[in-house]
Amino acid sequence: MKKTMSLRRQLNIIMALIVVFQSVALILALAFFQVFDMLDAEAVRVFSSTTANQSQTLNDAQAKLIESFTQETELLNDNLLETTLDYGLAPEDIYLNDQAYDAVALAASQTLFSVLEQTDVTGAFMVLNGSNAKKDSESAHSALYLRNLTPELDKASNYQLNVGPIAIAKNYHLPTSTDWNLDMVIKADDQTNNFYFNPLNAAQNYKGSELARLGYWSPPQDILGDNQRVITYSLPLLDQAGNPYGVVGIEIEQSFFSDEYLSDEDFPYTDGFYMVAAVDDNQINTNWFVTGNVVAKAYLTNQNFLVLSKRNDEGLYATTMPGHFKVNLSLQTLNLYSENSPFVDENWSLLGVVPENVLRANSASIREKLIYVFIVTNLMAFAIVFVTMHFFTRKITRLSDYVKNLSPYDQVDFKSTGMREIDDLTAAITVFSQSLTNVSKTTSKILELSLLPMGGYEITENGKNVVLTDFLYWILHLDPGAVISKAEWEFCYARLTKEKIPDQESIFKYFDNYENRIYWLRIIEAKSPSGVVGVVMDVTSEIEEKNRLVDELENDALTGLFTATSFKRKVENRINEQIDGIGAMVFIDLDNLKYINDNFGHEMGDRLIIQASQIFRYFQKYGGIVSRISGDEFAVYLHGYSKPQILLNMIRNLYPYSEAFTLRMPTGEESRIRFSAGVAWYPKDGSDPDTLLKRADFAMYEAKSKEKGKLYEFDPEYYQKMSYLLENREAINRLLDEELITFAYQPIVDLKTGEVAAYEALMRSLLENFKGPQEILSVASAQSKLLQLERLVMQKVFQSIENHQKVIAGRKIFINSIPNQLLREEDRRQIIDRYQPFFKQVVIEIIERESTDSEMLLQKADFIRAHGMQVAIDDFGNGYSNELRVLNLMPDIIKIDIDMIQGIHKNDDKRNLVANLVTFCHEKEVLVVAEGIEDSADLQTVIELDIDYAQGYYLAMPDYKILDIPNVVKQEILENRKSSSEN
Amino acid sequence: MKKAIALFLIGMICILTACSGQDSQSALDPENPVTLNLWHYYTGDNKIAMEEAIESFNQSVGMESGVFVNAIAQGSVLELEEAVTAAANGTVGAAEMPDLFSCYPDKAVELDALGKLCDLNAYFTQEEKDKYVTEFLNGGIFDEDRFLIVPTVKSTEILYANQTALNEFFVATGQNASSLTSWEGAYQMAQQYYQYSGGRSLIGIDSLANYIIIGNRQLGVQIIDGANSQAVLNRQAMKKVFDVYYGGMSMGYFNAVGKFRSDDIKSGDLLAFVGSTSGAAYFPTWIEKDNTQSDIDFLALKYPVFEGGEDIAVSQGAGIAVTASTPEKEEGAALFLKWLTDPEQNIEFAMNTGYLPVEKAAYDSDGVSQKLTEMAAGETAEQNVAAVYQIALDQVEEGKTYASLPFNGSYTVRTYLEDSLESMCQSGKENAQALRDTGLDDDAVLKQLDLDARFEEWYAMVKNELDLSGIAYIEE
Repeated sequence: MKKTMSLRRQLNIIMALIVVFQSVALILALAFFQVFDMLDAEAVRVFSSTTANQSQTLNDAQAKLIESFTQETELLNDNLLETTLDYGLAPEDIYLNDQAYDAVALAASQTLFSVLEQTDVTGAFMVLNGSNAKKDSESAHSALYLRNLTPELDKASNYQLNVGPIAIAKNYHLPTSTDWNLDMVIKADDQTNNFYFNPLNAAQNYKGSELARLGYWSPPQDILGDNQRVITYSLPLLDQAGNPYGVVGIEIEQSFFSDEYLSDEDFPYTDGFYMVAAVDDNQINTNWFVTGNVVAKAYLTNQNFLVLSKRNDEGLYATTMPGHFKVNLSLQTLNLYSENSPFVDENWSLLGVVPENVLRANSASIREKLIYVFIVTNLMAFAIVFVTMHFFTRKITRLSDYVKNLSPYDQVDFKSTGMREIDDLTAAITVFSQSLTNVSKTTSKILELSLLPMGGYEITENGKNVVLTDFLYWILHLDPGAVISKAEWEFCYARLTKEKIPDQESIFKYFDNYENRIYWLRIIEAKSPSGVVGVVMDVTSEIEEKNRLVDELENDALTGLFTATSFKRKVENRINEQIDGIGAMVFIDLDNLKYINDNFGHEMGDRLIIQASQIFRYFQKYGGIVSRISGDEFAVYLHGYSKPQILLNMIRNLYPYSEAFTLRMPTGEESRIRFSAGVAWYPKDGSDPDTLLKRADFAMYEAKSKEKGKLYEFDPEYYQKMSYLLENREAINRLLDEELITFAYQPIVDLKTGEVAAYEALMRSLLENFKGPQEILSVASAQSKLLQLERLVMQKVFQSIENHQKVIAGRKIFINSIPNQLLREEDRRQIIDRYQPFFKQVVIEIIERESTDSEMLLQKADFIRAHGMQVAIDDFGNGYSNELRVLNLMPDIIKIDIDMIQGIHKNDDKRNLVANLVTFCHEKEVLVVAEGIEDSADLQTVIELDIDYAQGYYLAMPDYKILDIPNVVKQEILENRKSSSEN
Repeated sequence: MKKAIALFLIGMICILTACSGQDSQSALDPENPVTLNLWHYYTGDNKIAMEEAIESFNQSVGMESGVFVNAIAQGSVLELEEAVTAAANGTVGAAEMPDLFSCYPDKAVELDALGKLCDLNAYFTQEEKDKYVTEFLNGGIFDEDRFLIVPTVKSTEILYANQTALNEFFVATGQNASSLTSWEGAYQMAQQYYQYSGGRSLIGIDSLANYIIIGNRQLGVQIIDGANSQAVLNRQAMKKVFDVYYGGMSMGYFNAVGKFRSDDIKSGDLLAFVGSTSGAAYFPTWIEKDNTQSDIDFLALKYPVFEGGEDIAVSQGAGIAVTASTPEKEEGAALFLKWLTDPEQNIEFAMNTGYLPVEKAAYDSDGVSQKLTEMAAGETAEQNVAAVYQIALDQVEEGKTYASLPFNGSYTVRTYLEDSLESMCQSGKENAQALRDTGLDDDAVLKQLDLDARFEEWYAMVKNELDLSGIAYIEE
């Protein structure tokens, strides 16, 4: 196959090549026309012309200085010649005469002073041809040397006399220098004295020349021997014949020279500077040089020569300064002398010095910027090429994408590309696709007409989309005819096949979210030459029917007996089959499953259940339906008998029959399987399975509570009475868990004062299920919850006492303790810790019953007393109690039972009995309470019998609030008391 | 990609550490040297000595560290101070502040108030500061802790005399030099010399301000009381100081002719003067006499003391202050000052011109004595300078020097004391001459001049000026 390349890539490469070509052409053009060299050349030109300007300025300044100084010198010379004439001396001999010299010195000082004042110099001097002070000395020369110490300030007060008569200093009020002298020592062999000899020799050699021609510039020299290097310009003093007799000069101290003439203030280059030096053969002789740049000065001072190399650039030199600074120099020879001067060969140059990188900073900067521009424009050009090519080729790409994604059912509709050749091609394809579609539609229609709840799909290897039939669109709730991509189909397929049914070939449970119902689908796939073809079939009705059958046959897994549900359905069916027959519902509960489970484990428990189920299968031969309801509960239903007795016999036979079955314990012994059973009769006790079950369950319950391991028949009367025990099984738990009890308080009245001496706390349920405390106790007892109830009562009653402490006001509270229940140590500890302070006002009432464990009773009483509470015997004399036990318990208080009190006023037996009891108690220092005072007469009798306290409805009803008794009653008690004591 | 990020991070860390590393190091860079302008008031030999020292610095330590000093002489102390003040105040046409400049304590106090000075504590460790002679160092520390002036050289004052001429007078009159130890003695000797010489003056004073301040101090009065920022006017002391000078000057026993008293020695107008040791080199080995040189011997004596007063002479000398600027410049300036005051440079720089080195090490080691031996063996001029040290070192080492502690305005007090007494003397001189012309003898002239009344006049003038300037003062 021929190697292909995308249209976009081909176009991109062509355009990129064009951009690259353009850039290369630009670079070549820049190189060919030497653009950067031109920039550098311009920099060089500016640099050279700046230096040239500076050089011109310097030349002009010096020319002006020379001109003005020459004039002054000429005037002085004339002046001196006149003075010498006055003294009749030749000018050459002036120094020999003291007075003439003094006069000459004075005249000269005036000129020098004015030169200092009028020109920018640091000193001015005159040196004569001999010494006035040391007339015989050859080297001593009388001289006058004035310096301006601060030329910048230009203050005459800072002038100093370095050489000359002290009279001059006094005259001008000048200080003298430390090395002040009268003479200067001038020697011909001393280079530093050129300032003297050079103009002097010139004057002799070029007699008749104009004065200015004879002037000499001396490079910086230390002419006074004081380490001050000064540049001097000196002119000879000439007599009438043109013979020199001395020189006059000015000095410019080199740092002042650099400040004045070499200021780099206007020099447009950082770190650049000017320098004046002698340049010979491309070498700077650093014996002397003048610059204001201290850095250059420091570096050059220790250097003898600085070699300059001429650069290709016009007139520029380059060198490396000590300290490795690369610099470029522009060199301008200074015109110090006129062309006819004898010193015209003296070569002083002004050098402009600029670090190389500074000079070429411009071209370097432009070159850098150009590189950036070049990179940026090229990148932009490439970006534009890529973007435009993308848009251009996108239309074609889109067209091919469109065709790729077409499904066979789609209406083909090509968008115009704006390109004629391509649009012609798409039109031809449209016509062709139309005919293909028609063929496909026919096939689909045939399938639809078959009316089967089935559909099919096709996935082709090359295609992007999946072809579906209408059924699949319907079941997946897709828009009919929508294009389904492979990815979408995979999602749909996953949904359809999410839940495979085990043991069922190709059957899937599919939950239809939209309709909220379950479908059962059979999905079968097969490979086709170009991909995969699949069929989806709705098999919901078949599967549901099958499942129902399975459900009905479901048995208890452990025993193989019917489960409760199927049991009930079967019972119902059986009743419905023979509605007028007699049936017996037997409810059986194993007596010892819990024991077995707890002691030998659930495996043994399971074996017990299995063994038991074998027993109950006994009924199957009588057509009984046997079921395991749950855990250790079984139920059997027998039906269709004419007389209950037959059934009953049948059922009773179960017990002897069961004796054959035993359970082999791990200990080795054979254990009997015991069970309690209850029977309820159809239709007498109930007509539907649920009622029958419930009734039979109750009968079984009765058996269990009365005679374990027996069979009881349902007793409607007993059921009526005790149903609450069953019904309130849940209620008692709730009461205990949520602590739904409260207390009512009934006053116990002191019969001597008529005041309330104590209250009895009476438990009340907050749940309506219980009619009274007795029911709570009964249900709790039946459910073995008495201890929990006792704990709850104690906690709540103490809590209540604590809460009502204020109204109770120190009076006693009687609390009823539940018989035979002794709180556990931890519960007692909790109460003691929390409520100890209230114990002294608490009286615990305990009840004596026949069934009472007297050992526990004693223990309880001891505990109560040990913690500072009092013990009361409740319901004394109700038939259970006897006086002996009272003695044993040593109670603090005895409450005489309501039965003994009610009607006491008209029953002599009761009265005698009570009177004896009171006597007995009082002997033992036991207080007596009369319970159940419900009328005035009983109250009166009780008072007469000297009973200590009384309680009862007549005195006050129990109330949730702690109340006093009515005043009327109080009054009555007091009156009764009064009359009885009178008797 | 991960590699690239890692490299980038490593690079960043290197850059950061390099930056922080550089921070702790010096701000100076030999590749980018700083140039510092130094303004000083030295002239003549002192100026040359300073320039030589700087040149030597630039070519050694300066070049290595990237610091170059450019010295600019600004004339006299007064002119330097004017220029610095103008620069500090940004006066129109004034130059930029120099990076370093010679500075007296009074000026430092004033400029520091403008926030122009660098506190050099940032650049000197305690150890480095402790190297300086304590009194010299203290003269540069203000407001307890601000180190504004580095002492570079110090000087004191002594009495210079032309021994040759003085001997002639002694031989003729039987006097001797011991009278010159007290001001009263000097006054009397000058009076006698006036008679003896037929109207010539014996003695001159270079710094009148020092005379007034030290005279007061000898008599137990600190006229410039920097500790309390006030002037202290003590009538008794002032009167003694006034009488000697006003009397001496008016009567011509004392004199001031040339610009400096050393010039008056050179011209023969004076035989002796009190002046700074730093002027030692100016004292001539010869004087001009009839257009020729006449050799003289030199006699160095202690600064005279008022009778009953304490033996104290001045300690003076501008140090160098550093202008607050960039860290590079400040650090460069400190580097230069440490170099300049190191005994190795300091002895050479100071002692050629009669100044005193500032570091303890210079005195403790043999540096100073070795230099003195060298000088004593040299030319006459050098011997003269060496002779000055015999007196000066004694003063310094025994702690008999005094520098008044300045306060803001004390410079005005100093200047005014000097100017007012100077102008009093000017008229006194004219009056005395007029009286003499009438033929009165010296005693009568003195009586006519009425020193008591003149003193009151001067005293009132001083007070008035202090009032006008708003400077606090107390009278004793």
